[in-house]
Order: sequence, then C-alpha cells, then structure tokens
Amino acid sequence: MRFLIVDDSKAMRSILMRALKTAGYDGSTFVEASNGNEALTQVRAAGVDVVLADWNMPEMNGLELLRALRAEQNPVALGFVTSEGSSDVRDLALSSGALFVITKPFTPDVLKSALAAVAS
Amino acid sequence: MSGPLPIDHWMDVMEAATSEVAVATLGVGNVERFARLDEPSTVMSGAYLPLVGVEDQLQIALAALPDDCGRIARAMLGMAETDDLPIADVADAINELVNIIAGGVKSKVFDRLGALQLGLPIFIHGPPQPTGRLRTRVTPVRIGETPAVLMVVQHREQEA
Repeated sequence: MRFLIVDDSKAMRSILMRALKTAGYDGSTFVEASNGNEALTQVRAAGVDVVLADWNMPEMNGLELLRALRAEQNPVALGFVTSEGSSDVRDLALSSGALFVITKPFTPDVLKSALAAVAS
Repeated sequence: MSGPLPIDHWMDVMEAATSEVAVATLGVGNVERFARLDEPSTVMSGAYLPLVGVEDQLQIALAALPDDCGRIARAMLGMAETDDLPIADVADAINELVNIIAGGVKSKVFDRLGALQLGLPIFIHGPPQPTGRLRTRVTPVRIGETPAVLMVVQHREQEA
C-alpha cells in the first residue's frame, strides 16, 4: 500500500510512519508532504492509496486538500489525524468525503482499525 | 460545566495524558513523576500551548534542558542520539509532543468542560515570568531516561 502522510510537522510525519509500520504496514511505501499543496502534487504525480492528513496546515489545510481532490473527481481514501476532534470538525470532515477522523493522541491499533476498510 | 478547574487538577490531567502519549503513541517509555514545584528549578527550553475554554484559559508546557529537548526530539524521530538535529527540528518535535498531549488533555476534560480550543504551540528558551496574577505548577518527570518538566500556567482568578 502507498501512503501519503501530510503534516507540517516533520516529527508528526515520523510518528505516523512508525505507527503505521507497527500497525502492520511495514511493507508499504510512505510519501510525505508538509501541506495540502505539496500533497496535491504528490497525488497527481504518483498516485497513492491512502492519504493521512492533518487538519490545520499552512498554505492549504487538510479540508481544502480533501475538497480539491474531490473537485478533481479523485476518490483516494483520505483520513484526518488531528488534535481537532470536536464533533463539528468530525461532521464536516466526514460529510466532505473523509474516510475517518483520528484524534491525537492515537495508538497503532486505532490506525489499524480505521484503515481496515481500505485494506480489505 | 461547573466552573474552572483547580490548577492541580489540570496537572493531574496533563500527567495522565503525557504518560499515555509516551507509552502508546510515541513508544518512548514510561513517565516517572516527582514532587510538584511552583516553578522550574532551572532555566529550560520548551513548548507552550494555550488551551481555551468557556471558563478556563491556561497554558500547558513541556520543558527541558536544551540537550534533553534534543534527546526527546531524536527519540520521537527515531534518530540515534549522535545524529545531528537542527534546533528548528527540535522545536518542531517538542511542539508536536505538547500538541499531542494537549489532545489527550482535551479529551479527558471534555465531559466536564466541553470542547477546549487548542492554540498553536510555540517553543521558548527560558522560563515564564511569574506575576501576581499567574500561578504556575511544575511536575519534574523522566520521559524514558530523559529529565523534563510538565508545566501548567493559569491566571489566579480563574482557579477554583
């Protein structure tokens, strides 16, 4: 599986990558982007199976990224990993086409459960 | 909603969130806690993040000596202790650590206080300056093998 991890924090990208490996995706390919614009370029250039995106990012945030992808008719699975876990954010994300919203702090098991639908 | 929480309650919550994050999210080991202080015993660098609710406004922070901030950051990034790490990357890692801890704090007080807004973390060299209106609580900790402190800063009139 090819993951695109989108977060303006290098540390968070690293944490997510390690958590995905622990969750059983150690044979996967990981691509990184630090904002939505970079992520769009990555998706258009190489294609990915799953996008894991932060909600708040500079230049283009996670929700704008999701809306840009859907505007291009790109159905790639996208989940948010964010500290913004309010019901408003969750509702907005899911109604905009997100697959899931994971609230920090998270565990590898939470990631695994959220990704089960994609993996199958 | 039942009014602002006492500062020691906030620290209880922050300690619990930090322990969970260290073990379950970061895998950097257990968090050993020591007796609380009213201010840090030495000048440290660290990340401060505002938490704002209807009845509470405070800052939570994680601080350590500069070399220890580097150790924590390298552990988060899966790097060896001898690897070079620019200070900007150290700050990014400590900021993210406090952001994750804040997410845990937010979820732990949701039933009592509702949804808190998280501000942006900022990495600062040096301690907060106490004033007549600010109350600070500090818990020295050891995250894995690395000493650090957890801090809660609250306006006195907001404390229950």
